[in-house]
Amino acid sequence: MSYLEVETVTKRFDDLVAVDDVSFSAEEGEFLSLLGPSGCGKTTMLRMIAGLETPTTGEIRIRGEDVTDQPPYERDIGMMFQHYALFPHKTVGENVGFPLKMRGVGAEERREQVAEALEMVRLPDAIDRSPTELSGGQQQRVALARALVFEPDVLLLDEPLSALDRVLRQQMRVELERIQKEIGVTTVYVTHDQMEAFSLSDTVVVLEDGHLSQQGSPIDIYENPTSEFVGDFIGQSTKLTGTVTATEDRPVLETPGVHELRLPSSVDVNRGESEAVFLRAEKLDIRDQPSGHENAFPATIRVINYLGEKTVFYCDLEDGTEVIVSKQGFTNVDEYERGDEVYVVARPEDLVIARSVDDRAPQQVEGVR
Amino acid sequence: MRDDLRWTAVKATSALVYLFLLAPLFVVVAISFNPTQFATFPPAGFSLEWYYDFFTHDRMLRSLFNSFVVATGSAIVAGVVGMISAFGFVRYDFRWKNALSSLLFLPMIISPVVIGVALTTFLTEIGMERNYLYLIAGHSTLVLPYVFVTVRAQLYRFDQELEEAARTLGANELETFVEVTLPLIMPGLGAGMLLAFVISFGEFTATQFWIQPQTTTAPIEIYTMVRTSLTPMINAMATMLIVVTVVVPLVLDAVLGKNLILKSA
Amino acid sequence: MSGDGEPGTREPYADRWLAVRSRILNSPALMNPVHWLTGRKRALAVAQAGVGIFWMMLFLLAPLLYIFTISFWQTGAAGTMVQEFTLENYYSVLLQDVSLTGFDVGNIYLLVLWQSLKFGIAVTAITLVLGYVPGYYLGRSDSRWLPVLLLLIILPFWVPLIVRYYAWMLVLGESGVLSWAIELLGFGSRNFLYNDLAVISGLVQVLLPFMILPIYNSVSKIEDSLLESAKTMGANPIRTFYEVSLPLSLPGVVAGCILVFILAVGSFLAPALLGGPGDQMIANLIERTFLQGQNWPLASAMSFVYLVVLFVMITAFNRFVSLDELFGEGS
Repeated sequence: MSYLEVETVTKRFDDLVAVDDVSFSAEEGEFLSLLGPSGCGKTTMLRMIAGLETPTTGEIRIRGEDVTDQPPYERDIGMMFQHYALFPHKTVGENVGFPLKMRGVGAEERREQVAEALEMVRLPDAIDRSPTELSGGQQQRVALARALVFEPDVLLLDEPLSALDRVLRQQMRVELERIQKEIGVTTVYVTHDQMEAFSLSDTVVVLEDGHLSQQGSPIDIYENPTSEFVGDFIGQSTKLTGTVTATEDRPVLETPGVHELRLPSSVDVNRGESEAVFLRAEKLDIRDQPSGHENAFPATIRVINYLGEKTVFYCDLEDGTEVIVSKQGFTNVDEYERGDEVYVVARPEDLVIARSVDDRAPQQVEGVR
Repeated sequence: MRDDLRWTAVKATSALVYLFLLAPLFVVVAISFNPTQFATFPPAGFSLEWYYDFFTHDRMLRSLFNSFVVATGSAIVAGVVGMISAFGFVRYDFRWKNALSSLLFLPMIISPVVIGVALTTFLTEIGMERNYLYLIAGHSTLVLPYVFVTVRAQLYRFDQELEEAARTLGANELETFVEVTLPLIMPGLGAGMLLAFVISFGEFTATQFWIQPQTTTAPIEIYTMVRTSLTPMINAMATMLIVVTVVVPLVLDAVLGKNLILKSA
Repeated sequence: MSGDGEPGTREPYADRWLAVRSRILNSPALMNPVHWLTGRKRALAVAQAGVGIFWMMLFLLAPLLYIFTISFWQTGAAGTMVQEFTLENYYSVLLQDVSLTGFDVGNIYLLVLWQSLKFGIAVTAITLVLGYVPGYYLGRSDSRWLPVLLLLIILPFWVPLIVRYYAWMLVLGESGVLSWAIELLGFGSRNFLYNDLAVISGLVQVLLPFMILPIYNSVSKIEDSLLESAKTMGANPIRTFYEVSLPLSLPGVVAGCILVFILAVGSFLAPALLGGPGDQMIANLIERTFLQGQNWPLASAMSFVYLVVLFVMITAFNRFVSLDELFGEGS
């Protein structure tokens, strides 16, 4: 029995199926992210865990107790909203003390716990201020303190960082991780940002169009996507599709852009089947000569984006397919320019092929369901 | 240069309109301290004689009290009814919503004489006694649109995520309403109820059909005095009504610091 | 509430209050109906919107329907009603010369209705002329006194109508302000009361805020950049006003005109206090028929004809501006 269990949950709004037969679970203290593009049902899923929506079918259990039909105020759930939803007519202290007040905690004890919670989010002096006077980052900390002050069973976060600017977002991400680890609360985090999900989570649940695409650790999701959607959505990559053939015992993908793409010998594919292969941008190389490399195919550089810590090349293959190559710490940018004819090199073992769980070799299934 | 001149002309004209609008009220206040038997301008001196008369006149005090009771009752009834229905109209969709919402505006359009005649005929038919409740029912009908429209405007701006937040934090529906919703719509509700109070307090036209001697309100007493005996006590009473309807709300507004009055515009 | 509960445990007052309140707000007696309703969105919508709708049906529509019914009843002796169908009341109102309280002046009702409409139009026109400039000023002014200036427009509207008309009597009356002023100029004292001018000026004085505020609302919504761009395109200030400000302020003008017209036509106090015997308006006629004449069926018929005339005119206006705009979604 897991700490938080979502079992075959479906939510329909009139004709629209927002969440379709989704199941996943989280252990106590686990940080789980619901990751997916907007409209994939992740926020609806979160709202059902909070009790703000009721599933059409399915069950949600917390610590083994079925809470599916409980109203939100009977669950012990701390939720942080995207726009914080701080009460503008209450002071910071009253906001943070609100869940305690609703639980009948006396004024004095309340004050102590509020002070503690504000200490935890490093805003001890804001207690008597109005939330409307605070900056976005500060409001966020108050919202977090309010969601945690009553030691909830589960902490729910709805795209909490999306309203902040880039620098602040990074700071808050680190802060969030520190606090979550410090108090060890089971956390469900909704985001469309892969970097946020990967850097914070123990487990990532990828949702696509209302149904669950894949659940696993960040590494698992990144290296072994179980569907084309996940392979495509996660990371920056180029997708090549073609038919499997074989040369010299090695599987090969026949694809228009590169003619022959050698696949790793370990991969389990069948001749004559059509497959999709993902070339991760950061695992590709740019070479002037094809010699000495297994998969090297000619390409023309179309755009070079020098971003400091990395450089991104947008190249066109022979058939016009765009391939993205991202190089860390690339210092000899000046040697390349738009229109250069180069070779893009992809080592077979770096290729990512989406395999559904059933098709996988046994050692790769580990950790999934 | 010529622009400035034009703007000055606009300002001067506006000032004259302000004078036209406000001066008569100051005349009433000024004359109320006039010691002579006849209301003359300019006042011939200063005396509190008519105020003394007013404050020792049982019938006048009684009517002022009646007006207070009726206006307070109507503000509360219209406040509750207007607020609840504003919630229904803003937060849900149903058929004939527009037509039904104009039903709530109807008392603003129909002349109070017609409402007065219709309601008194109807209530006589169903045999209702002419007491405070009678007047409060009538006045609430007249002022309901004002509460409805101000609360509705406030609710359109209301962020419902705040209510959801309260519920996840452990507040049930009623606690959410008391702790979050009500305080946040209070400016609209307060402005509407204040407006309801002053309109009910000064209502004459429909009220004349609804009163009986024991429930006579202050505006009716003034009307009777103006039509029959032009005693200077009218000036004292009129001044008192100005105080009640202008000064009291202004002080309330300043004390509560909510700018309710401006919001009612 | 007084006295300590148990010795030794010092509970702050706020906590006990919190406990009591939380018990009330969580009591099944309150929460059961709430849960029943929140589980049924439809029922909740009906329950909420229905409160106001029901109120208006009971205290406005039912009474109107009732007087519509009795407007077809006959009048018996001494103000009694006879429940027998007749069209006589409508015949009296629309076609017959009526004799009211003794004197006979042709078809009083139509004359008075016509007079009311005339007064209404005159009052609307004058208020528009007087109200546009201050409305425009308030809308364009960036004075820090603006809130106070607005307040000064709103406040008179709070003062009971009876007091405001009485104040106007003190201005126009025999020993009033106006009389005093012309005496200072060397003319004899004069009474300006009890004529149609007194009625019209009184209505204008009282109804001005209803014109100024909507105009202010429209004008204040005009962006400065619009006026500036008109100027940069070569329009002089007067052109700018006619081409930009005036058209954009029209919604306010129309709203103000409808409000003032409706209120002026239906006025009871202005003619009753400021007018002479010939200045009766429709409201006064209905009141007299009802209270003094005790002829309820006839008063009902009068009310209905008046309602129909008014609604026809409002519907006509409504083709130019929607009533919803008049009452505003927001302030």
